[in-house]
Amino acid sequence: MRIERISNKQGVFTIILFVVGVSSIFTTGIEAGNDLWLSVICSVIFAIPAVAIYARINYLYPGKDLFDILEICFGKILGKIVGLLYVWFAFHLSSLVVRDFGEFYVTVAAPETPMIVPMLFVTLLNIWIIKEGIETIGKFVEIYVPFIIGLIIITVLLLIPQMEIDNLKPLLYNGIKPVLKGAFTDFSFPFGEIVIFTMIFSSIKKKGLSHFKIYFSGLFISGFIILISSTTDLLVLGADRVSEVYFPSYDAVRRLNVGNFIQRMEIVVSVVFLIGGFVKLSVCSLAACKGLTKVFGFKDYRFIVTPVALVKLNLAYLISDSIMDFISWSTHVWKYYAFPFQVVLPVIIVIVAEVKSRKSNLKKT
Amino acid sequence: MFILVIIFYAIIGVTEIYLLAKKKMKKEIYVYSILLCFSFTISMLLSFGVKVPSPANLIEKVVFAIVGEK
Repeated sequence: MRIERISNKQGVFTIILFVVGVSSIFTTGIEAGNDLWLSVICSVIFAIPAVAIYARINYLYPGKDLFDILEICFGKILGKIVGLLYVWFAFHLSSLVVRDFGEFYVTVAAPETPMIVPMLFVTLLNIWIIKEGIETIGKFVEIYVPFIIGLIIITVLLLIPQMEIDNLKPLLYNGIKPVLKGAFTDFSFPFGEIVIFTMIFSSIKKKGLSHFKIYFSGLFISGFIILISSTTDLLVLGADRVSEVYFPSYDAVRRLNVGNFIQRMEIVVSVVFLIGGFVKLSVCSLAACKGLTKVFGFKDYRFIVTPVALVKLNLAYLISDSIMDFISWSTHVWKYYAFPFQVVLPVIIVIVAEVKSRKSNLKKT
Repeated sequence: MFILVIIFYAIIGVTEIYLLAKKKMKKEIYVYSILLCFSFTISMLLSFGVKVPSPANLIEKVVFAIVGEK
């Protein structure tokens, strides 16, 4: 057995790339229209209690995964059933990310290529990095995060001449309701998915309160980056255009033009998506493989990586017929489908875990 | 197309099962082969152009039956 440990810094960076990666090409929460930036702030505020619950779950049982905690809290059979539900959630999320890769590449860069080609290569790389373990993901992330954040800040600064402040007006024209709807979508798509980290953060080096620190600094930094990038999209393109196109950031950065010299910088968005999406894919598949092996009672997860990744590739290929189908599914169905995994089940788990850990503490003293 | 799929799965299956058999992990080999066969079946069906039902539609129906919104 290899040692699987990541430092606090690597944990924070993994959360940042996990959240920012895929959201850098899809601007979610566009139901809010002109008030998109307000709904991003609201969704970060909604995410604070949810993330506190995830951190508390990890804090109560240090060194244990969500799947171990489920078995401790609910007993063997019920714990395994809930564990399988979470395995399905992580697995499904990872296959959606693979599909994102395919759709983005085919729509934006190479329309004649069959979609299976980019998805196949991403999956092969993914198999490799998961077999190397979580430490490799941590090092990968540590190298790339400053690079990614720098790229995003530079593009935003260069886009300032194309921005029109009128795109933000009028403020709250339709009332607060669309803002809250957008905040719910924003919560379920990038921020609530942090629940996946409860399944892999048994490998944090330091124990104790550092879980809260990691989760919250990850949430706030990534929330700030998403706020900046979606507000930039809104300022450059306007609310109508953002809701029309599939990849608004790509369209916004395409307009970048500094003195007819620096232009056609779309590749920056592709690089951010490529690296961030790859980290998200690795984290989700790692969670799925670990969960599957834990539920069936194996010690090491590495042997199962390849078949799981291949099933994931198949699922990503058949999950929807076209990009329209895919985008409409992820905007209309995903938020309700993800809600039980992101909020309802963690609340139940944290209540049971509190009661059980208090009881065991009483027995000890 | 389906010949490519068969070759791909054969290479992966033979190499990885060989490695597992070297370490004498019997239980792991069973789980591995079941999952790989499942994946292989779906891949073959897709390569023949059969329309495999997507779980997304099922999830959509269940979700909208509960939430009651379209």
